[in-house]
Amino acid sequence: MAKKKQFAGKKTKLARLPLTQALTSQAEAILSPPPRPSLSLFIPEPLTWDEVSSGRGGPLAVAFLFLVRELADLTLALQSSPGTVAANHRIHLPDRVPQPSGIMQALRQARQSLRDLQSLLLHS
Amino acid sequence: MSHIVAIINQKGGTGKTTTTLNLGAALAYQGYRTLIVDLDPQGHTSIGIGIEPDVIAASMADILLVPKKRISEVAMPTYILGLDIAPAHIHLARAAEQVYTRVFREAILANALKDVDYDFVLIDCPPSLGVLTTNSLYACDFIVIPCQISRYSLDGLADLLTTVETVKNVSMEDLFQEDLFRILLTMFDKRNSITNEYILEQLKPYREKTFAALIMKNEALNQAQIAQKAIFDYEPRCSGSMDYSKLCLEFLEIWRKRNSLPAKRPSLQGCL
Repeated sequence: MAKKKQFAGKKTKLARLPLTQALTSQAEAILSPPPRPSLSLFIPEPLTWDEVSSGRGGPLAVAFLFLVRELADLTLALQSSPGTVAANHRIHLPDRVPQPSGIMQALRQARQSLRDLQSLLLHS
Repeated sequence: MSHIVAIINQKGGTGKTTTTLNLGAALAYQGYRTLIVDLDPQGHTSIGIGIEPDVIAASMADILLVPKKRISEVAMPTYILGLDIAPAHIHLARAAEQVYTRVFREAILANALKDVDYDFVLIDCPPSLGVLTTNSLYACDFIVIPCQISRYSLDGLADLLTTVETVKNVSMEDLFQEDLFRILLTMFDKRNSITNEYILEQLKPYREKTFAALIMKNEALNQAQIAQKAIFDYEPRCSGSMDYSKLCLEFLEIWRKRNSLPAKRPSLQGCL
């Protein structure tokens, strides 16, 4: 380790070459991490659904919104099909996007519901 | 049209001659008609392939001294089928001094190489940036830079790239973009971990321009010089032989991409 420390600050002619410097900065630009996804989900003030639709809130919130909308559409389709007794299966969206822990809990519940449905269909 | 490749590094002892000889042999064994131009007055490439300087009738010195002399007039066959050599003699050093006053002295080699009938011409350059190396740079369309794992090799590489920029009249960026050169790491010894790490870090920006093939330090490569044979004929199974085979295949792959070469030809001796 002590040997390597003695290399510090020693620049070769190659390192000083304009081409090398240009290539190094090019590589750094490519390697520098892309802008992080919005951390707005983790800030105290919750987002509105419109903000989530426009891409803010990160993939978790978008996935949640997608799932809720799909379920809402499914419910609507079931209620409007002929012969179906209108049931009170309305999905109520909360006013604001829940915190990530809340979203994860909702997704887990959705997964459990799908498993229950699958089991129900198998035994019917 | 021949593809002209200069093997250059003005630092001595980087493996230029070994690379020229073994890459030339490998190309010939792959079925490509290849000419080695020995432009180093020490004549080591010529000696390395079995040509004794004292018995040659004409050499590269004549090309420099006699106007309009053609390479075909000095080229001679080697023991490898498909591999010819335009040999060097110590007189070449004196000849290089004498051409300093000639007009268009940088183009002497390019003119002499016009109309040569080979797939590849490999030029082994002397360890300097004088008129001989300038002639090679002027004539070539691709440069292989053997680079030992040492700090001074990196400095040499920087000087060389600056010279190439001047002689080829291209910007450094164009030099990079136009795919004009590759760095070849030679005499690599994995035990030298601290030096290796430092040098490889310095070469990181040039990774795209560095051959993936690595020439490891291998005693058989030295012994082959004494035997005056290509490594494939001296010890076909040694690491040096494997490394130069890989280099040849990678070189051909680059060449195919650059120039739409035909698919690989069958190997004449099947050693690759």
